[in-house]
Amino acid sequence: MTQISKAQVLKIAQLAQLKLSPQEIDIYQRELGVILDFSNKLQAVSVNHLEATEQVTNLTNITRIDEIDANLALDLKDLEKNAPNFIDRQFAIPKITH
Amino acid sequence: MISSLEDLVRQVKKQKLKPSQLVEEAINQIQLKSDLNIFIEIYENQARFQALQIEDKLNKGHPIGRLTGCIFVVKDNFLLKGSKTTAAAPILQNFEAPFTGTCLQKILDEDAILLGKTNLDAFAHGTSTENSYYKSTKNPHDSQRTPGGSSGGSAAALATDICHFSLGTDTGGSVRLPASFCGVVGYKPTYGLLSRYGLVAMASSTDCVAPFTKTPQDAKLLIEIMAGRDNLDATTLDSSNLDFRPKTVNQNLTLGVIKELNQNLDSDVQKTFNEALDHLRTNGWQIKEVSLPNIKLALACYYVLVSAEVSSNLSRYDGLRYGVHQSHDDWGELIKLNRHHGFMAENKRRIMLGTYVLSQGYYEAYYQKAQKLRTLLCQEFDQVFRQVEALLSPTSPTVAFKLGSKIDDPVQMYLADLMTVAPSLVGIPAISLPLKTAGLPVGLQLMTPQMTDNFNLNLAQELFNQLC
Amino acid sequence: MNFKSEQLNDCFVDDYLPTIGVECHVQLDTKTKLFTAINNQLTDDQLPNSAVGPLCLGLPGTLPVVNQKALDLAIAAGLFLKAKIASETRFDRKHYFYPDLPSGYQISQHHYPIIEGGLVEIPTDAKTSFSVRIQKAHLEADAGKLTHVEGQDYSLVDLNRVGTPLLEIVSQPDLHSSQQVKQYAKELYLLMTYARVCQGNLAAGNLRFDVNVSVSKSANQLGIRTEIKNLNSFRFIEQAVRFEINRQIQLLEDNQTVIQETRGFDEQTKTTFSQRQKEDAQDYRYMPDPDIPPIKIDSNQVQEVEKNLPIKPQIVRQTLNNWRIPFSDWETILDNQDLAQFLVAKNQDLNIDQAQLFVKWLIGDLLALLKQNQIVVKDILNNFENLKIIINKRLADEISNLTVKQVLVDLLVEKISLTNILNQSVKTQITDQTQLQSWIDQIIQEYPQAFADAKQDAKASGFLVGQVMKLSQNQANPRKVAELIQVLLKNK
Repeated sequence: MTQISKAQVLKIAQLAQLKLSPQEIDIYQRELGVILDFSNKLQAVSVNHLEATEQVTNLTNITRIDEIDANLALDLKDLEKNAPNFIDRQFAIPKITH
Repeated sequence: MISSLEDLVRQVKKQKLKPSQLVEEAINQIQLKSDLNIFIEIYENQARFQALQIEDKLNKGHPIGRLTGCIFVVKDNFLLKGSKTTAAAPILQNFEAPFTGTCLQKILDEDAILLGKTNLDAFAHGTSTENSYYKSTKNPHDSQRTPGGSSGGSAAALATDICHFSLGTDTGGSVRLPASFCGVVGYKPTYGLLSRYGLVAMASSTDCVAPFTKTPQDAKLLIEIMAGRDNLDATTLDSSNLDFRPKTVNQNLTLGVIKELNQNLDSDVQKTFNEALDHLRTNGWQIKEVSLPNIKLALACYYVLVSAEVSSNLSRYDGLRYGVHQSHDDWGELIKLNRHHGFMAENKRRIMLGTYVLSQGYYEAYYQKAQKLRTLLCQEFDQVFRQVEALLSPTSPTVAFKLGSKIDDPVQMYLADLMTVAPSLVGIPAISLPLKTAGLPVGLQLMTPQMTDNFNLNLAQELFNQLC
Repeated sequence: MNFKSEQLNDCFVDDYLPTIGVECHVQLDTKTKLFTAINNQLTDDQLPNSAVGPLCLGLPGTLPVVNQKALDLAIAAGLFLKAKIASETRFDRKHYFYPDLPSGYQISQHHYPIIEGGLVEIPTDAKTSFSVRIQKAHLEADAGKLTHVEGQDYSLVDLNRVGTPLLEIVSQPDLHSSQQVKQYAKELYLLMTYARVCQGNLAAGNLRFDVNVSVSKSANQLGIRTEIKNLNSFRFIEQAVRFEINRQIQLLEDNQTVIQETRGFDEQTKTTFSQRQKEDAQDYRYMPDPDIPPIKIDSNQVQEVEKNLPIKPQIVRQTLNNWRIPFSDWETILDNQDLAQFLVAKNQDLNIDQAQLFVKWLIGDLLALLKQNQIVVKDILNNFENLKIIINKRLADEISNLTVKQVLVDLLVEKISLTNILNQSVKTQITDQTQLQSWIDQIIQEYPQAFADAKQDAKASGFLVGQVMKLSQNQANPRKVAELIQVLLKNK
């Protein structure tokens, strides 16, 4: 089985900004291992000669003209409605010191 | 008796059916079926008000839309202005959307009446609707079983006749699977045909708005209304060449049965599927076995790609601008706490997996490899569609499974998507049709090439007439 | 290395050769943001969070759509950087968490940047220059602004700037002194403003510079480098680089090692300070953005942009050089793009003498008037024909040097018509022989030696004419004065 170390689990959790309890670390260590095992089936097939498909639409050059859409802008009450902390028209967060 | 959405609209226009009465019946039905936990939010008063407005328009002879009087519900990952959109996740439980998504707006513009937002797996991650922050939805045919997921609520609402149609999203089977488990039609269009603007994003390269209907013909009407380029979604296709007029399907075409997906099925599924094929053969259809040798890898491919995109799309949920938040003195710790309390276990699982496959050292082996396998699958489908015009498979290897039976085994849960992920990866249209069964519903999946949505729905209607 | 070895030798500090690379973030001057049709023309008094939409907030359900104008401006910038425009360009997501980044990722270009390669040449005098190679330039969306409030336990986030289009220009490490870095930064500024892709307001952060600095005893081996971020003035760039070079040399001389890290610049103390350890380079998990289809750029599109390009600084310099304007004056002209472009446009309409005089006035009296806000550039441009007349009159000595300034003021500030100005100066000029003669006599008495010199050398009479003009407070008709003096010289 694919082994993922606790250190790796913690590193991924850090990158993903997830706080894991000790139980969760154990669980994910096991579950990720199982899922990766399953994903390792991918290694069986030879695809290196192929281009990656990132989009199945085959669209290219989809752009928009440089004009303001008046319906799009949000006003202050839209922001305040959902904001956890709103001071002086801005989103307040714990002070960043570093 | 209402035979179709178009028929309903005709009757409403002729004033044979009253929208406000339809609304009351629906609300009644909701109450009768409340133990199924279908809804996150019910818009009783708004629906009543809408019905009155429509009746007013009718009385005055004002122009009305193509869905006038049709009652519908949507999965709660569609943004609706001025309403909560929760995605059944803790972090968005109080989120009020400041705009309405494109597809939903198009349906509302046709005077359909929105009755509520339905339950789903949180952030649409799941195949059973058990990953919801709210109670699990139950299958209308058997309340011990799941309705499928992630669009379980919308499927159950239609199956219990609370509404005339409903909307869900299908990323890897999230409409087809619940359609199959609940015995209704579920249609996933060509990727890019319908705008994703206003959908809580799961996997950007496979997410599709997808309707639940009683018949393929109804689905065609909805697709026609919603299809088209959207300036707010750069991945939408130009549908102006698509012809949605009804067309009889010539039976001089060959249907392919995918060999690799016709194995390891539950006995009831195998039996029902075989019977359906026999019935078709008897009616003169050509059926041929075809092979997609790498389709078995589609599931692994899907989970790698989708997890990667999920981990990316869920990065925005830090609780600093919207969403439920905790308290902490340090902004970094605050973000972690917000996310810890904001996501369900399955969300975190997919974020962890996605972060892993995108991380340095693993990107080529997993993510890039999966993208290349996707190319291979596209090629295989292209090849097979040169041999046959359409493909058939069961929608799911099983019938609806029991609530709680797979929740502790993520891989088992993923296997429910085995039949449905490949069309999602390659972007082709696929529909689930409810086969006639004595026991629990079994779905038949029909797949056709990209941009043949009209053909798919016409053919599906023909098969529906013969099999469902 | 792209320097002659003598040039390189000049850059050594003590025994160390500094090597610097520069990343410049240019804010593109579009009406709307890079991926959403929200206002991008922010004013100095723009209220916080008054130019934001759903995408800027990172709300669910939002999707990016590329602004065509941003692509066009990037192509224009690429042409000014003598770079190769990519035939296919794509966008990638760069993932990290920070309160000023609402989506949790920045949309940037990692694998397929829009601009590949390029060259910037910086003249150091009329004949020599040094060059800096451009590695690449890519488009990316800007992040928001954080304010750390004094005396409070919170910081504030303003998302107005989220999604502003940035072109990040990455140089090769071809710079070897703080002076060169400053010159390079100035040249980039010039190129980007001349290309009209950027407004060039440094105080508003229209261009922001990050510098990577390292020192090494050997020209073939680079030392450990530090990054100094967010410098937005040429002065600060030079000071920061100079300090950092010396700091690193000192460390190495003390047998310590340079730590690879990000540093900030303190404008008060003119020193750099440590900000973040760069030990584990951040894993950004770049992923192609599935919401944005690839952009293919063909030669027609590039030609279309090229057709409408403004004049490049090099052309201005060539024009000035052809007119034999001294190198030391070039910068003043270049700093005013409208004037510089105008000069190039009038290239054929001026001969060298006219041009030299015109340029002299531009960087002298006219610049002064501009600075005092007494005139605007348009006033000069609209009066070209009139100015040409004055130039010719000056060259023909029909107007004295002393009167030029007044004439320019009368024409451009007081907006008196040229005919009136010339008439008036003739009218008020005193031609009365008696009066003139009396002034001349006075001057000859005051400067007998000059008079004697003038008898030997007719050209020296100019001095006498000048003195009479001064005495007459410019009222005398200079031609008449000169004539009378000539008569006296011949006679006496």
